[in-house]
Amino acid sequence: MTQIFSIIVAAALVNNMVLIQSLGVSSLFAYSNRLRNAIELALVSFLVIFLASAINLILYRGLLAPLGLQYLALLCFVGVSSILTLLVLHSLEKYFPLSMRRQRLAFYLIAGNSSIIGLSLLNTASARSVVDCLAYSFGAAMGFALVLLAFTALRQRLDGADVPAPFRGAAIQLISAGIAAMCFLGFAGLV
Amino acid sequence: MSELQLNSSQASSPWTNNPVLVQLLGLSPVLAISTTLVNGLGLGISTALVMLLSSVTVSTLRTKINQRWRFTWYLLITASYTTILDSLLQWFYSPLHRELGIYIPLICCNFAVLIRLEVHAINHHWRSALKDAALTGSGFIVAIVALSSLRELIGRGTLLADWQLLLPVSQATAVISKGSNTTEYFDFALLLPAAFILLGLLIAGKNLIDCKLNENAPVTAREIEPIKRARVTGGL
Repeated sequence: MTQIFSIIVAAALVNNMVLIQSLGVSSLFAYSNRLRNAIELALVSFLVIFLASAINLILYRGLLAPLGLQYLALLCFVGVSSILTLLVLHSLEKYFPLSMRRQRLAFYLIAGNSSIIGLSLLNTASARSVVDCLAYSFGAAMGFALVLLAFTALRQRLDGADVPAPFRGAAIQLISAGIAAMCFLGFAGLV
Repeated sequence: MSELQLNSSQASSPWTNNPVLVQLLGLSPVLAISTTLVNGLGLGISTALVMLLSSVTVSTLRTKINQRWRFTWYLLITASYTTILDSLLQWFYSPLHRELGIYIPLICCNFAVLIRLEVHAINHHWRSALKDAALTGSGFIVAIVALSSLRELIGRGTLLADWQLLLPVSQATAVISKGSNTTEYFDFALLLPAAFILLGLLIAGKNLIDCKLNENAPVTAREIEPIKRARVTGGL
Protein backbone atom coordinates (compact mmCIF):
# COMPACT_ATOMS: atom_id res chain seq x y z
CA MET A 1 0.00 0.00 0.00
CA THR A 2 2.77 2.42 0.95
CA GLN A 3 4.59 1.53 -2.21
CA ILE A 4 1.55 2.25 -4.38
CA PHE A 5 1.00 5.56 -2.63
CA SER A 6 4.60 6.57 -3.18
CA ILE A 7 4.37 5.61 -6.85
CA ILE A 8 1.29 7.81 -7.23
CA VAL A 9 2.98 10.78 -5.58
CA ALA A 10 6.11 10.23 -7.62
CA ALA A 11 4.14 10.13 -10.86
CA ALA A 12 2.03 13.17 -10.03
CA LEU A 13 4.72 15.49 -8.68
CA VAL A 14 8.29 14.23 -9.07
CA ASN A 15 7.89 12.97 -12.62
CA ASN A 16 5.08 15.33 -13.55
CA MET A 17 4.08 14.62 -17.12
CA VAL A 18 3.73 18.18 -18.31
CA LEU A 19 6.36 20.15 -16.49
CA ILE A 20 9.13 17.55 -16.05
CA GLN A 21 8.70 15.16 -18.95
CA SER A 22 7.18 17.65 -21.38
CA LEU A 23 4.32 15.47 -22.62
CA GLY A 24 1.10 17.15 -23.71
CA VAL A 25 2.36 20.67 -23.18
CA SER A 26 0.21 22.11 -25.96
CA SER A 27 -2.91 21.35 -23.92
CA LEU A 28 -1.91 24.01 -21.45
CA PHE A 29 -2.09 26.72 -24.07
CA ALA A 30 -4.68 25.46 -26.50
CA TYR A 31 -7.84 25.55 -24.45
CA SER A 32 -9.96 28.42 -23.28
CA ASN A 33 -8.83 30.18 -20.16
CA ARG A 34 -12.09 30.03 -18.25
CA LEU A 35 -11.62 28.17 -15.02
CA ARG A 36 -15.04 26.50 -15.30
CA ASN A 37 -14.20 24.97 -18.68
CA ALA A 38 -10.79 23.98 -17.40
CA ILE A 39 -12.31 22.03 -14.50
CA GLU A 40 -14.40 20.04 -16.97
CA LEU A 41 -11.42 19.49 -19.21
CA ALA A 42 -9.21 18.43 -16.33
CA LEU A 43 -11.75 15.87 -15.10
CA VAL A 44 -12.38 14.42 -18.54
CA SER A 45 -8.66 14.35 -19.34
CA PHE A 46 -7.97 12.59 -16.06
CA LEU A 47 -10.59 9.96 -16.88
CA VAL A 48 -9.46 9.47 -20.48
CA ILE A 49 -5.74 9.40 -19.72
CA PHE A 50 -6.11 6.90 -16.89
CA LEU A 51 -8.57 4.60 -18.69
CA ALA A 52 -6.76 4.68 -22.02
CA SER A 53 -3.35 4.01 -20.57
CA ALA A 54 -4.77 1.17 -18.44
CA ILE A 55 -6.39 -0.44 -21.50
CA ASN A 56 -3.23 0.09 -23.53
CA LEU A 57 -1.13 -1.48 -20.81
CA ILE A 58 -3.31 -4.57 -20.58
CA LEU A 59 -3.50 -4.84 -24.36
CA TYR A 60 0.26 -4.61 -24.68
CA ARG A 61 1.15 -6.98 -21.86
CA GLY A 62 -1.61 -9.46 -22.61
CA LEU A 63 -1.78 -9.52 -26.39
CA LEU A 64 0.96 -7.72 -28.28
CA ALA A 65 4.04 -8.72 -26.30
CA PRO A 66 3.25 -12.47 -26.15
CA LEU A 67 2.56 -12.52 -29.89
CA GLY A 68 5.70 -10.53 -30.70
CA LEU A 69 3.78 -7.70 -32.36
CA GLN A 70 5.48 -4.82 -30.55
CA TYR A 71 5.79 -2.80 -33.73
CA LEU A 72 2.00 -2.49 -33.90
CA ALA A 73 1.89 -0.92 -30.44
CA LEU A 74 1.65 2.66 -31.69
CA LEU A 75 -1.28 1.93 -34.01
CA CYS A 76 -3.12 0.10 -31.23
CA PHE A 77 -2.53 2.87 -28.69
CA VAL A 78 -3.72 5.53 -31.09
CA GLY A 79 -6.87 3.62 -32.00
CA VAL A 80 -7.75 2.88 -28.38
CA SER A 81 -7.17 6.42 -27.21
CA SER A 82 -9.20 8.12 -29.91
CA ILE A 83 -12.12 5.69 -29.74
CA LEU A 84 -12.17 5.90 -25.96
CA THR A 85 -12.15 9.70 -26.12
CA LEU A 86 -15.19 9.68 -28.38
CA LEU A 87 -17.03 7.13 -26.23
CA VAL A 88 -16.32 8.93 -22.96
CA LEU A 89 -17.37 12.24 -24.43
CA HIS A 90 -20.64 10.93 -25.87
CA SER A 91 -21.60 9.03 -22.74
CA LEU A 92 -20.81 12.03 -20.54
CA GLU A 93 -22.83 14.37 -22.73
CA LYS A 94 -25.93 12.28 -22.18
CA TYR A 95 -25.89 13.00 -18.47
CA PHE A 96 -24.09 16.30 -18.05
CA PRO A 97 -24.43 19.50 -20.05
CA LEU A 98 -20.79 20.05 -20.96
CA SER A 99 -19.82 23.54 -21.95
CA MET A 100 -17.07 22.15 -24.15
CA ARG A 101 -19.58 21.13 -26.80
CA ARG A 102 -18.86 24.15 -28.94
CA GLN A 103 -15.11 23.58 -28.85
CA ARG A 104 -15.29 20.15 -30.36
CA LEU A 105 -12.10 20.27 -32.40
CA ALA A 106 -9.99 21.63 -29.59
CA PHE A 107 -11.41 19.08 -27.28
CA TYR A 108 -10.69 16.04 -29.43
CA LEU A 109 -7.14 17.15 -29.85
CA ILE A 110 -6.65 17.69 -26.19
CA ALA A 111 -8.30 14.56 -24.90
CA GLY A 112 -6.54 12.45 -27.49
CA ASN A 113 -3.29 14.18 -26.79
CA SER A 114 0.28 13.08 -26.70
CA SER A 115 0.24 12.47 -22.96
CA ILE A 116 -1.87 9.33 -23.40
CA ILE A 117 0.42 7.87 -26.04
CA GLY A 118 3.50 9.02 -24.16
CA LEU A 119 2.31 7.45 -20.94
CA SER A 120 1.45 4.19 -22.70
CA LEU A 121 4.87 4.09 -24.34
CA LEU A 122 6.57 4.78 -21.01
CA ASN A 123 4.56 1.95 -19.45
CA THR A 124 5.58 -0.49 -22.16
CA ALA A 125 9.23 0.39 -21.66
CA SER A 126 9.19 0.08 -17.87
CA ALA A 127 9.86 -3.15 -16.01
CA ARG A 128 7.23 -2.52 -13.32
CA SER A 129 4.43 -4.96 -12.52
CA VAL A 130 0.95 -4.30 -13.91
CA VAL A 131 -0.43 -2.96 -10.61
CA ASP A 132 2.49 -0.58 -10.24
CA CYS A 133 2.01 0.61 -13.82
CA LEU A 134 -1.67 1.26 -13.15
CA ALA A 135 -0.75 3.26 -10.05
CA TYR A 136 1.78 5.20 -12.12
CA SER A 137 -0.85 5.99 -14.77
CA PHE A 138 -3.29 7.11 -12.07
CA GLY A 139 -0.72 9.43 -10.56
CA ALA A 140 0.40 10.78 -13.92
CA ALA A 141 -3.19 11.55 -14.96
CA MET A 142 -3.72 13.30 -11.64
CA GLY A 143 -0.58 15.34 -12.14
CA PHE A 144 -1.76 16.35 -15.61
CA ALA A 145 -5.14 17.54 -14.28
CA LEU A 146 -3.43 19.41 -11.44
CA VAL A 147 -1.08 21.30 -13.73
CA LEU A 148 -3.89 22.08 -16.18
CA LEU A 149 -6.03 23.65 -13.45
CA ALA A 150 -3.15 25.54 -11.87
CA PHE A 151 -2.04 26.88 -15.21
CA THR A 152 -5.52 28.03 -16.22
CA ALA A 153 -5.79 29.97 -12.97
CA LEU A 154 -2.37 31.48 -13.71
CA ARG A 155 -3.48 32.50 -17.20
CA GLN A 156 -6.51 34.25 -15.79
CA ARG A 157 -4.21 36.30 -13.61
CA LEU A 158 -1.91 37.04 -16.53
CA ASP A 159 -4.80 38.40 -18.58
CA GLY A 160 -5.30 41.16 -16.07
CA ALA A 161 -1.61 41.94 -15.60
CA ASP A 162 0.20 44.84 -17.22
CA VAL A 163 2.72 43.07 -19.43
CA PRO A 164 5.13 44.80 -21.88
CA ALA A 165 3.68 44.70 -25.41
CA PRO A 166 6.00 42.13 -27.09
CA PHE A 167 5.56 39.72 -24.18
CA ARG A 168 1.76 39.81 -24.26
CA GLY A 169 -0.06 36.54 -24.90
CA ALA A 170 2.05 33.51 -25.66
CA ALA A 171 5.46 34.78 -24.53
CA ILE A 172 4.60 35.60 -20.94
CA GLN A 173 2.61 32.38 -20.61
CA LEU A 174 5.59 30.31 -21.70
CA ILE A 175 7.92 32.15 -19.35
CA SER A 176 5.59 31.64 -16.41
CA ALA A 177 5.28 27.96 -17.34
CA GLY A 178 9.07 27.85 -17.23
CA ILE A 179 9.09 29.26 -13.72
CA ALA A 180 6.43 26.72 -12.69
CA ALA A 181 8.58 23.95 -14.17
CA MET A 182 11.50 25.23 -12.14
CA CYS A 183 9.35 24.88 -9.01
CA PHE A 184 8.52 21.30 -9.96
CA LEU A 185 12.23 20.52 -10.23
CA GLY A 186 12.25 21.11 -6.50
CA PHE A 187 10.13 18.00 -5.95
CA ALA A 188 13.05 15.82 -7.04
CA GLY A 189 14.01 13.53 -4.19
CA LEU A 190 10.63 13.81 -2.46
CA VAL A 191 9.90 10.09 -2.78
CA MET B 1 -14.84 29.63 -30.99
CA SER B 2 -11.67 28.67 -29.24
CA GLU B 3 -8.34 30.34 -29.82
CA LEU B 4 -7.07 27.11 -31.31
CA GLN B 5 -9.54 27.17 -34.17
CA LEU B 6 -9.17 30.89 -34.65
CA ASN B 7 -5.41 30.76 -35.10
CA SER B 8 -5.23 27.62 -37.13
CA SER B 9 -7.86 28.56 -39.68
CA GLN B 10 -5.57 31.23 -41.13
CA ALA B 11 -3.38 30.44 -44.10
CA SER B 12 -0.24 28.61 -43.09
CA SER B 13 3.07 30.39 -43.35
CA PRO B 14 6.42 29.83 -41.69
CA TRP B 15 6.53 33.36 -40.31
CA THR B 16 3.12 34.94 -39.75
CA ASN B 17 1.38 31.72 -38.73
CA ASN B 18 4.25 29.58 -37.49
CA PRO B 19 2.85 26.41 -35.87
CA VAL B 20 5.14 26.67 -32.86
CA LEU B 21 5.84 30.35 -32.36
CA VAL B 22 2.36 31.67 -33.10
CA GLN B 23 -0.10 28.83 -32.65
CA LEU B 24 1.79 27.11 -29.80
CA LEU B 25 1.12 23.68 -31.27
CA GLY B 26 3.33 20.63 -31.02
CA LEU B 27 5.26 22.11 -28.16
CA SER B 28 6.12 18.94 -26.28
CA PRO B 29 8.72 17.52 -28.69
CA VAL B 30 10.07 20.99 -29.41
CA LEU B 31 10.71 21.68 -25.75
CA ALA B 32 12.05 18.27 -24.85
CA ILE B 33 14.31 17.54 -27.81
CA SER B 34 15.85 20.93 -28.50
CA THR B 35 18.94 20.41 -26.31
CA THR B 36 21.26 20.14 -29.33
CA LEU B 37 20.91 21.36 -32.88
CA VAL B 38 21.43 17.86 -34.30
CA ASN B 39 18.51 16.47 -32.31
CA GLY B 40 16.38 19.43 -33.28
CA LEU B 41 17.14 19.00 -36.98
CA GLY B 42 16.46 15.27 -36.81
CA LEU B 43 13.11 15.69 -35.15
CA GLY B 44 12.11 18.67 -37.28
CA ILE B 45 12.82 16.86 -40.55
CA SER B 46 11.03 13.70 -39.37
CA THR B 47 7.97 15.67 -38.32
CA ALA B 48 7.88 17.54 -41.62
CA LEU B 49 8.11 14.24 -43.52
CA VAL B 50 5.21 12.72 -41.59
CA MET B 51 3.24 15.93 -42.12
CA LEU B 52 3.76 15.89 -45.90
CA LEU B 53 2.91 12.22 -46.33
CA SER B 54 -0.11 12.18 -44.09
CA SER B 55 -1.68 15.32 -45.51
CA VAL B 56 -1.37 13.97 -49.05
CA THR B 57 -2.92 10.71 -47.86
CA VAL B 58 -5.78 12.40 -46.04
CA SER B 59 -6.62 14.64 -48.96
CA THR B 60 -6.55 11.69 -51.35
CA LEU B 61 -8.85 9.66 -49.13
CA ARG B 62 -11.04 12.61 -48.17
CA THR B 63 -14.19 11.29 -49.83
CA LYS B 64 -13.89 7.97 -48.02
CA ILE B 65 -13.21 9.26 -44.52
CA ASN B 66 -16.24 9.08 -42.27
CA GLN B 67 -17.07 12.50 -40.84
CA ARG B 68 -17.78 11.24 -37.35
CA TRP B 69 -14.68 9.10 -37.00
CA ARG B 70 -12.35 11.37 -38.93
CA PHE B 71 -10.14 12.11 -35.98
CA THR B 72 -9.48 8.40 -35.50
CA TRP B 73 -8.60 8.20 -39.18
CA TYR B 74 -6.10 11.05 -38.92
CA LEU B 75 -4.44 9.42 -35.94
CA LEU B 76 -4.28 6.02 -37.63
CA ILE B 77 -2.76 7.50 -40.79
CA THR B 78 -0.14 9.52 -38.95
CA ALA B 79 0.60 6.55 -36.68
CA SER B 80 1.23 4.28 -39.67
CA TYR B 81 3.70 6.71 -41.19
CA THR B 82 5.33 7.28 -37.82
CA THR B 83 5.77 3.54 -37.29
CA ILE B 84 7.43 3.20 -40.69
CA LEU B 85 9.66 6.20 -40.03
CA ASP B 86 10.55 4.84 -36.59
CA SER B 87 11.69 1.51 -38.06
CA LEU B 88 13.66 3.23 -40.81
CA LEU B 89 15.41 5.52 -38.34
CA GLN B 90 16.21 2.58 -36.10
CA TRP B 91 17.73 0.86 -39.08
CA PHE B 92 19.75 3.62 -40.69
CA TYR B 93 20.25 6.18 -37.93
CA SER B 94 20.31 4.15 -34.75
CA PRO B 95 22.43 6.59 -32.66
CA LEU B 96 20.11 9.45 -33.57
CA HIS B 97 17.09 7.24 -32.90
CA ARG B 98 18.45 6.53 -29.41
CA GLU B 99 18.89 10.25 -28.77
CA LEU B 100 15.34 11.13 -29.82
CA GLY B 101 13.81 8.20 -27.95
CA ILE B 102 10.10 8.40 -27.18
CA TYR B 103 9.58 11.59 -29.18
CA ILE B 104 9.79 9.83 -32.56
CA PRO B 105 6.65 7.72 -31.92
CA LEU B 106 5.01 10.81 -30.44
CA ILE B 107 5.12 12.59 -33.83
CA CYS B 108 1.84 10.80 -34.60
CA CYS B 109 -0.07 12.90 -32.09
CA ASN B 110 1.68 16.19 -32.74
CA PHE B 111 -1.03 18.87 -32.85
CA ALA B 112 0.84 20.81 -35.51
CA VAL B 113 0.29 17.86 -37.85
CA LEU B 114 -3.26 16.97 -36.81
CA ILE B 115 -4.60 20.51 -36.96
CA ARG B 116 -3.43 20.99 -40.55
CA LEU B 117 -5.11 17.72 -41.51
CA GLU B 118 -8.37 18.83 -39.93
CA VAL B 119 -8.31 22.41 -41.16
CA HIS B 120 -6.85 22.06 -44.63
CA ALA B 121 -6.14 18.59 -45.99
CA ILE B 122 -9.60 17.13 -45.37
CA ASN B 123 -11.30 19.47 -47.84
CA HIS B 124 -8.67 20.37 -50.45
CA HIS B 125 -7.00 18.81 -53.44
CA TRP B 126 -3.75 17.00 -52.72
CA ARG B 127 -1.59 19.62 -54.42
CA SER B 128 -2.95 22.32 -52.19
CA ALA B 129 -2.59 20.03 -49.17
CA LEU B 130 1.02 19.32 -50.10
CA LYS B 131 1.82 23.02 -50.34
CA ASP B 132 0.14 23.73 -47.04
CA ALA B 133 1.97 20.89 -45.30
CA ALA B 134 5.29 22.07 -46.75
CA LEU B 135 4.73 25.58 -45.41
CA THR B 136 3.71 24.34 -41.97
CA GLY B 137 6.53 21.81 -41.86
CA SER B 138 9.13 24.41 -42.76
CA GLY B 139 7.72 26.63 -40.03
CA PHE B 140 8.12 23.79 -37.55
CA ILE B 141 11.73 23.22 -38.66
CA VAL B 142 12.53 26.94 -38.42
CA ALA B 143 11.18 27.12 -34.89
CA ILE B 144 12.90 23.99 -33.60
CA VAL B 145 16.22 24.95 -35.24
CA ALA B 146 16.09 28.43 -33.72
CA LEU B 147 15.34 27.12 -30.23
CA SER B 148 17.80 24.24 -30.31
CA SER B 149 20.71 26.27 -31.65
CA LEU B 150 20.07 28.86 -28.94
CA ARG B 151 20.00 26.20 -26.23
CA GLU B 152 23.07 24.42 -27.54
CA LEU B 153 25.03 27.67 -27.73
CA ILE B 154 24.10 28.71 -24.21
CA GLY B 155 24.22 25.29 -22.62
CA ARG B 156 27.28 23.73 -24.23
CA GLY B 157 29.01 26.50 -26.12
CA THR B 158 28.96 24.51 -29.34
CA LEU B 159 26.89 24.54 -32.49
CA LEU B 160 26.06 21.43 -34.50
CA ALA B 161 28.30 19.24 -32.34
CA ASP B 162 28.15 15.49 -33.16
CA TRP B 163 26.91 16.32 -36.64
CA GLN B 164 27.92 12.80 -37.68
CA LEU B 165 24.64 11.60 -36.14
CA LEU B 166 22.88 13.01 -39.20
CA LEU B 167 24.74 10.63 -41.50
CA PRO B 168 23.52 7.07 -42.07
CA VAL B 169 24.81 4.64 -39.51
CA SER B 170 27.77 3.13 -41.35
CA GLN B 171 29.71 6.39 -41.35
CA ALA B 172 28.45 7.64 -38.02
CA THR B 173 29.46 4.81 -35.70
CA ALA B 174 33.15 5.59 -36.00
CA VAL B 175 33.10 9.16 -34.80
CA ILE B 176 30.53 9.61 -32.07
CA SER B 177 32.20 11.61 -29.38
CA LYS B 178 29.63 11.92 -26.62
CA GLY B 179 30.92 13.87 -23.65
CA SER B 180 34.16 14.87 -25.30
CA ASN B 181 33.29 18.49 -24.65
CA THR B 182 33.49 18.54 -20.87
CA THR B 183 33.59 22.31 -20.49
CA GLU B 184 30.60 23.36 -18.41
CA TYR B 185 28.78 26.31 -19.83
CA PHE B 186 25.46 27.59 -18.53
CA ASP B 187 24.09 24.13 -17.83
CA PHE B 188 20.64 25.38 -16.89
CA ALA B 189 19.84 25.97 -20.56
CA LEU B 190 19.69 22.22 -21.12
CA LEU B 191 16.89 21.74 -18.56
CA LEU B 192 13.21 21.88 -19.41
CA PRO B 193 12.39 25.14 -17.55
CA ALA B 194 14.99 26.94 -19.62
CA ALA B 195 13.35 25.58 -22.77
CA PHE B 196 10.05 27.18 -21.75
CA ILE B 197 11.71 30.47 -20.89
CA LEU B 198 13.89 30.63 -24.01
CA LEU B 199 10.91 29.81 -26.25
CA GLY B 200 9.01 32.60 -24.52
CA LEU B 201 11.88 34.98 -25.22
CA LEU B 202 12.00 33.84 -28.87
CA ILE B 203 8.30 34.57 -29.26
CA ALA B 204 8.76 37.96 -27.65
CA GLY B 205 11.61 38.68 -30.05
CA LYS B 206 9.44 37.70 -32.99
CA ASN B 207 6.67 40.00 -31.76
CA LEU B 208 9.20 42.81 -31.40
CA ILE B 209 10.41 42.30 -34.99
CA ASP B 210 6.82 42.26 -36.22
CA CYS B 211 6.23 45.49 -34.32
CA LYS B 212 9.26 47.16 -35.89
CA LEU B 213 8.32 45.92 -39.37
CA ASN B 214 4.91 47.55 -39.34
CA GLU B 215 5.31 50.41 -36.92
CA ASN B 216 1.72 51.57 -36.80
CA ALA B 217 0.07 48.15 -36.66
CA PRO B 218 -0.52 46.68 -33.21
CA VAL B 219 1.33 43.62 -31.92
CA THR B 220 0.07 40.51 -33.68
CA ALA B 221 0.09 38.40 -30.55
CA ARG B 222 -3.20 37.11 -29.21
CA GLU B 223 -5.46 39.93 -28.23
CA ILE B 224 -6.19 40.19 -24.56
CA GLU B 225 -9.75 39.25 -23.73
CA PRO B 226 -11.63 41.83 -21.70
CA ILE B 227 -11.35 41.08 -18.01
CA LYS B 228 -14.46 39.53 -16.54
CA ARG B 229 -15.31 40.43 -12.99
CA ALA B 230 -14.99 37.26 -11.01
CA ARG B 231 -16.14 36.45 -7.52
CA VAL B 232 -13.00 35.33 -5.75
CA THR B 233 -14.40 34.62 -2.31
CA GLY B 234 -16.80 31.78 -1.59
CA GLY B 235 -17.41 28.85 -3.90
CA LEU B 236 -16.28 29.13 -7.47
